[in-house]
Amino acid sequence: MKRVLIIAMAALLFANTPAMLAQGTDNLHVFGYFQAHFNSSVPKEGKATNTFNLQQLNLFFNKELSSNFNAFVNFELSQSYSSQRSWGYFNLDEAWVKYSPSQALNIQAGMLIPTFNHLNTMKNKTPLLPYVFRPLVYESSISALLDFPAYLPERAFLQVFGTLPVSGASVEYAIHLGNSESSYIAQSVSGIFVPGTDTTTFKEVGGRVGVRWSGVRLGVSATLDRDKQATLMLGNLPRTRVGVDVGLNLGAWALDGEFIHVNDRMNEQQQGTLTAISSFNPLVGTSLEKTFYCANLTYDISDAFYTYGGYSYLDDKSNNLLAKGLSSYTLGGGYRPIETVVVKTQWAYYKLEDNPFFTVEQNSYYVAVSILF
Amino acid sequence: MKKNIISIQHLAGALFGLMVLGSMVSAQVSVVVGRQSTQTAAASDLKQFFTGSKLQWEDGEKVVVVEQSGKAIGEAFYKSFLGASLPQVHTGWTKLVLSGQANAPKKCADDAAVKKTVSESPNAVGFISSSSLDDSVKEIYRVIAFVRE
Repeated sequence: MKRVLIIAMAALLFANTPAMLAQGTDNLHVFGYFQAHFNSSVPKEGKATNTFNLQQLNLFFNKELSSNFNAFVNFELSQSYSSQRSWGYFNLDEAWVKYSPSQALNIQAGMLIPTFNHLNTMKNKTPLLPYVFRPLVYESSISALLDFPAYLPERAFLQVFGTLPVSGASVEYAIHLGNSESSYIAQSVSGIFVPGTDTTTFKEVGGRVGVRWSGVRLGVSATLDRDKQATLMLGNLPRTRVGVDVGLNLGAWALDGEFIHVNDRMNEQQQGTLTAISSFNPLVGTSLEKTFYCANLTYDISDAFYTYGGYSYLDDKSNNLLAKGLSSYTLGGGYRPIETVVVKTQWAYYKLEDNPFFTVEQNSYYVAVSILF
Repeated sequence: MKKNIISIQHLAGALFGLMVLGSMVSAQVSVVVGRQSTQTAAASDLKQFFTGSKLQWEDGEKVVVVEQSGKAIGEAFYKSFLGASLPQVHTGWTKLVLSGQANAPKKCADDAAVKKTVSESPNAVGFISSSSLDDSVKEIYRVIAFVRE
C-alpha cells in the first residue's frame, strides 16, 4: 500500500513539474525538498563511525480551494526510507485545510504542527535551516537519548492564528488544540479504540503570542496537557511547557534563540513516591523538570555564502542520565550555488555533563546538500 | 608613520567604494498593477506584500505577487525598496510556501511578461523598469534603485 502511494505521489510530482518558486496553473502546487548528508562521528571513547544518509525527503501538495480556503498535505520520508529493507520512516506529517478570511484570522483544521516558539514548525524544513545537526530537542537523530514529546507539542488538530498591525509592529498570535501526547494514542485496536486515536478525555491546548518590529522578533509560548508517568507510578500528571523565542536580524547578521521549561505538577503524595523510587533507582531523579535553551548566530558573507555558530543545552531532572545536562556546540557554513540548492558543512560537539553512568562526548562532522524542488 | 597607514587604508577604502559605485547605475523601478485594477496601497503595505508578511489587499482580496526572475532588477528593487537581498526575500517566501501559508510569487522573465501578468489579474502587483511603463499597467509607486551594469 505504501509503495502504491509513493508511486502515485511520484507520478503526480513528475506529471506537474513547476519549480518550487513557480506556480501551477490548476491551483494544485506540488513541491518538496530533500537533504542528503555525510556524517563522521568521533566519540571520545569508542569507535568512530561514518555514513551517508538521505536524512529527509518531504513532498508537499498545496491546493487553493477558493480565495479563502487552501488544503495542504506534507509527507515525510526519513533516514533513507525503504519499506523493502525496513529502513527509516514514512510519515503523514501534516494534512489540513485553512480558512483565511483576513490576515488577522486564520483557522486551520486537520493534522498540523502547532506553533510553539519559532523552530517547532520549522524543525524539519531543512533547506531553511543553516545547520545539519539541529539544536538538541529538534534533532531527531538523537531521539534514542531524549524524550522529545516532553519538550515540544508535536501535533495539533485545530489552530487559530493571525497577525495584527499595532503601531508599526506586528502582533502574532496562535492558539491550538490537539490530542494528548503520543504515549496515550492507541497503537493497535484496543477495545473501542482504533489505532491513532486518543485514549483519553483530556487534550493538549497551547499557543504563542509574539511581536515583530523591524528586524526584531519576540514570542512567548505555553502548552497545558498531561504527562503519562505510569512507569513511575505517578499517573497522568498535569504538565506545563513554557517557551520564549527571540530573533534579531541586523543586516547580514541573524541571531535566534529559544528557551523551553517543562514542569509536571505533583501533589505531596506523588512527590513522596518519586523521592522513594529515586532512593532505590539511581537513574530516577527527584524532580520532573526539564529545560532547554539554544542560540544561533548566522552571518551572510555574501548572497551565496554564510557561516554560523551556535550552542544548545538541555536537561531532564527526572532522568539522572540527563540531569546535569547535555550540551552541544556547533560551527559551520553553507554555500548556495543556485537559489534552490544549499551545500552545508558543520562541526558539532556534544557532551553529557558530569554523568556518573557513562560518557557521551563526541565530535561530529557533516557535509550535506539540501535541495528544493 | 601611523598616520600614513591610516591614510592609505582610507584611500584604499575610497578606491574600493568608487569601484563598486562605478559599476552601478541608478534606475527607476515602478511598482505596477493592471490598468483595470482598482487596487492601491501605501509604500509600507507594498513592502509587506513583496516580503510576504502581508498577503491581502485592503479589501481582503489575496495579493498575487509577481516578480522578475532577471536577477539584476530583482536585486536592485529588493535592496533599494526593502533593504534586503534577493536570497533573504526568497528565504522568507520559502518559509511561507513550505508551511502552506502562501503561494510563491509568480515569476516572469522580463518587463513585458510582468505587464501581461498584472494586466490579466486584478489583484496582481509587480515591478518593472519605469521606462517600460505603458497603457496596460498603472504605476502605484516608484523606487530609485541602483542596478549593477
